[in-house]
Amino acid sequence: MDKLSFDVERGSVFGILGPNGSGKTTTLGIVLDVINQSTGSYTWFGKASSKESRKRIGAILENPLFYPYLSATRNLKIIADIKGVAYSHIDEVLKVVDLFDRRNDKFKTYSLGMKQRLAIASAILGEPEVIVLDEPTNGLDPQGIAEVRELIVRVASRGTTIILASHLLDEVQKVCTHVVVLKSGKSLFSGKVDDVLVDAESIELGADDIDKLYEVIKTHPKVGSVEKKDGKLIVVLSEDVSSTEINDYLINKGIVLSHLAVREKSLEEQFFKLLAK
Amino acid sequence: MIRLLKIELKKILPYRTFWVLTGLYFLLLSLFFMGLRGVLSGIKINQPKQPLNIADKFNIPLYDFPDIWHNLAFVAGFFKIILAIVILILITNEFSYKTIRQHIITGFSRLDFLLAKLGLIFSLSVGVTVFIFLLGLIIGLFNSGVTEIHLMVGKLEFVLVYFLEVFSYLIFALFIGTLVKKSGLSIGLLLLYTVIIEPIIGYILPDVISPYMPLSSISNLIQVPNNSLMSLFGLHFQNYISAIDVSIAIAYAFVFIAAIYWLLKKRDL
Repeated sequence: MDKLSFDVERGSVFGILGPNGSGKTTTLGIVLDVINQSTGSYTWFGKASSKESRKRIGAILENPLFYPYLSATRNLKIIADIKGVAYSHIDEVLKVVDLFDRRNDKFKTYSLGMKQRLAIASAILGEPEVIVLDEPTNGLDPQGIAEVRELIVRVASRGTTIILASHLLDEVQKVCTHVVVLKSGKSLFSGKVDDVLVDAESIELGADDIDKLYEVIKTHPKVGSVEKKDGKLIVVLSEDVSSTEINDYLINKGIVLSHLAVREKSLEEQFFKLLAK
Repeated sequence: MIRLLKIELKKILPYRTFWVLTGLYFLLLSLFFMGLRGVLSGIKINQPKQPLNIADKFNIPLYDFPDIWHNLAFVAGFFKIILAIVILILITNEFSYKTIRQHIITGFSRLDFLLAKLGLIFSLSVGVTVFIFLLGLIIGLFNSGVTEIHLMVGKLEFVLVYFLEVFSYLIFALFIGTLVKKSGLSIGLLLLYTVIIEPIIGYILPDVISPYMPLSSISNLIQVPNNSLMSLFGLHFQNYISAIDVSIAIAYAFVFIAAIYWLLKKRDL
């Protein structure tokens, strides 16, 4: 980790986004006290971290970690004992992750997706104030992924703070309100998801006089950023504008376009752009 | 502490390996001790005309109160290695399943984790000691003519010290398990250290130091029961519990507990 610093507001869904090996799990491991940091500090709930603060957090780190020879219920009882939570909540969380019917089967008989769902059950057990999820949709099928995301949004709507680490851009974009983008332990960006991962439309423009086009298009009120690339301009629009409107605007300014195309997938491009920095 | 112990019990009570191994300890120890007279009677000294029964000839009070307590505690000393393997499996499981990591994340401190394991070792040692007491009592009542209470409970201190012997040996096993983290490797290392490494080091070291090696100190607590057979070979063993031996064994237990705590603190889990 390199000079990484961020705050997570109460009630937000905070994403930690980065490719594999960027330091997401290491960061979470440090703040959950399983990895010793060489320097730096962190606080939970405005205080120094302790086992009491961790009892207010429900967390899974990387793989689901349970006793393979114990059933789901017995495994969750151990979690409940450590957290000081009543057993009565166990059946409820098992129903939430759809494992209630298999609750008495040993953990080792579970499929990868079921193990992941049990891990999520253990994280939400006892309605903790903060939930930390590290790659929660790993190993799940598309339906499972959709269910987990829906679950995260539902839990967040109750006011629970969620910290979600993921290498999947659309996951972060779909569920998070805030994000920090990591690469090689460095923060590339942190802020609101809407600010960085805007799914803004962008268009490609070409004209004989590219420099004049550049000057003129920048004056359009709904244009966000303009960039020259391969003799064309990549224009990111800050609001929805139809390409016809842009064309009319430019013709009025005396510019005739030789090229106009709407670009797809600007979001992933932005993400890769961030990572390439 | 009770809370921590309850959590430990939740992990081991449904664990078959735990029951198989502790059951094996109880079974093997009982069978071996009960068969011991037969073994001793079977040893014949080479005097063809007049076969000699060692147990009778030298009048070894194997199952008689109060000597039975010393004899049983000494024999049981060889079987504690099975309990050490149980502890090694339980502690290395926590590392290989990474459940120690989940415990910390969920709200254990590293000290909680250690205390839970110490509580388990303490309880297991108590359980084993109670078992030894009951086994000695039953065998003694069936085989010993002695019925006076003060003779029956004489030398019972050997059973109490057996508790310390098991406890400190299991602490040593916990240390090896925490250090190595892998179950097969740690079992191999414990056996190797117990049977070969420490005896060799003890052989190299001067005689004044070698009895104070960790495992020698532990096994010195209860020495070979003295009897006329041993004196025949000119051997003489300590026939009592020495306060110094007890203090050294307790000191080692503390040193290893501190070392385990240091390992847990220092490591990434």
